[in-house]
Amino acid sequence: MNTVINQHLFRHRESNSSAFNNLCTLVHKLPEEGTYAGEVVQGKRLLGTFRLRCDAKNELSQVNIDLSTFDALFRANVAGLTASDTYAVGKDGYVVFYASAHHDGLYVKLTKVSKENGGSTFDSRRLDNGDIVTFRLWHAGSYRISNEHGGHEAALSVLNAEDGKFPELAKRGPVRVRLSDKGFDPAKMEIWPTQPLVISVEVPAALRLQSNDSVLAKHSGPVTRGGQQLHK
Amino acid sequence: MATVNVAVNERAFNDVVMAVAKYLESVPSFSGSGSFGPFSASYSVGLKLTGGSIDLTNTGRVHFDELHLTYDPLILNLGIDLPTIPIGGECILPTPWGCSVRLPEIDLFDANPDISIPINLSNTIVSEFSGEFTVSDSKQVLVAKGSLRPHAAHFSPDTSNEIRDRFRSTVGTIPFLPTSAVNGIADAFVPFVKSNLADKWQFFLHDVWHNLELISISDTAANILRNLTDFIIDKILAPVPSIVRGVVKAILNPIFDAIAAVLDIPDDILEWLSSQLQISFGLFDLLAQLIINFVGSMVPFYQFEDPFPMIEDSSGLLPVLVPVENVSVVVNDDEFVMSADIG
Repeated sequence: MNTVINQHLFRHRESNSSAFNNLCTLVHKLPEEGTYAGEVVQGKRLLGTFRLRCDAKNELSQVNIDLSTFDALFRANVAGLTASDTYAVGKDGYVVFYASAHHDGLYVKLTKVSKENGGSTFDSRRLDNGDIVTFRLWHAGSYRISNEHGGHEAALSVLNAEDGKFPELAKRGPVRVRLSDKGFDPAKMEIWPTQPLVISVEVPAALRLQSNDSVLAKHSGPVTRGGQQLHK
Repeated sequence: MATVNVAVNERAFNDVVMAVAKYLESVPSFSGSGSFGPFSASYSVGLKLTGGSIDLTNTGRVHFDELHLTYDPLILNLGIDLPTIPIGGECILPTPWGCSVRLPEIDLFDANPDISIPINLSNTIVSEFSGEFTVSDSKQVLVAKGSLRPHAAHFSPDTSNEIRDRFRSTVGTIPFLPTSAVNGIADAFVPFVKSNLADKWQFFLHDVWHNLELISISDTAANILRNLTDFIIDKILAPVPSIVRGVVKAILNPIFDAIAAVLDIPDDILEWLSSQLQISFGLFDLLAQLIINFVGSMVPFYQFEDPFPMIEDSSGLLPVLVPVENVSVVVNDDEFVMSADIG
């Protein structure tokens, strides 16, 4: 029998918007028209570069950029996979950065190509007001989301079916959260597996998603969640 | 010229015919396929004969009573052409004028998800064959006579494909049987004839009526089919971490509910399988025709040489051969009687 299931989808349990994987999608609105030079980096390795054109004449409201396709070795092993080095989106359009494969530790930089110095830049390692972070998880359990720039934290529960039967997951819409200077609103969330968690960022942010199982393993002292002592 | 009558009682007749019927088990397994929407299936089947009896009747017919056919091997290969299932596409920035930004879609499957699942149902399904046949005789005269033997005036070597072609022509009348299966089945009988190429009187059974029915499916087969969708999903999910299986099943279940609806698998698995094998594959018609053709014209249930060696050659003496003519057969309730003129 052909092995056909996409196993990359289940590889990761945690994610980080400043070094993301296929559990995380970043959405950034370009501030002005023009041409932007993009760099895709994995860890300390430059995977590739691209050009992004933001033009009022273009009607597209979003452009999707799959950072996995910039890995030449990955492309060589996937039949029919091609990478583009030029993208275009309309004025006030959004750029959606994501990874479809196994890659982790990804970040992307955008620099406006301009004759003047000091053109606007975007670095996914430090998100800002207007950016959107989406997490989509497969493994049930409890998680913690923390903002490494502001120290804010939120508790996330990914629900597990009691009798092994999940609800119709395809019909579950996103759960929406705001991150402001006051923290996450709401600060406790529950989602089903594969249900998107959409976080609208209003302050400088680098969001880290951790499984509480790994957090418990690292801590030597007691850990509490929801007022209950979980681990000694 | 004298007339000879040879009578065989019902029990001896039963043994003779059943011994030849056992030859069915040496026939190579044959295969076929069918498709129904996104679902396709192919099968490979062979036969074993067990049980039943053969009775002589006072109407001159031979009655086959409830011969049990066990299918071994019986391998069903089920194929499903699944649609690609994307994860994503949700709207994350709705506006009064529609959705401004959607999440990208990622395929749940790597490639075109054509799933093929082998299901082994060997020795789990049994059919019952009944029928009535008349008996006829004919003389086989082949161009080839085989090697020179003491009682042969001359011989012609067997250099032609006459015997093979005869069998292929007979088997080829079975509908929907692919050419490869025709040749494979026919060629299996060739050595049976080539062992003796002398002229012969042969006796065949000809179909009056027959009935082939599915009578039983073991619990193993029924459970496999009843849990078919779970069986297939677990095959697909083999590489998925167990902790995530429930999640992926929830995504796949609507697809398999649709497939189950296409298959229309009812609670009565016996009825469903019988229907699929009969209507979708025509399997039972195929098997019944194979049996009929087999007993009817391919291999005689009894034969003897002409001239008949009354006394075999031995110690350097010539054999005593008796020509046989005007052979006829009569069947009654007690015995099978063959009459012939000799000398």
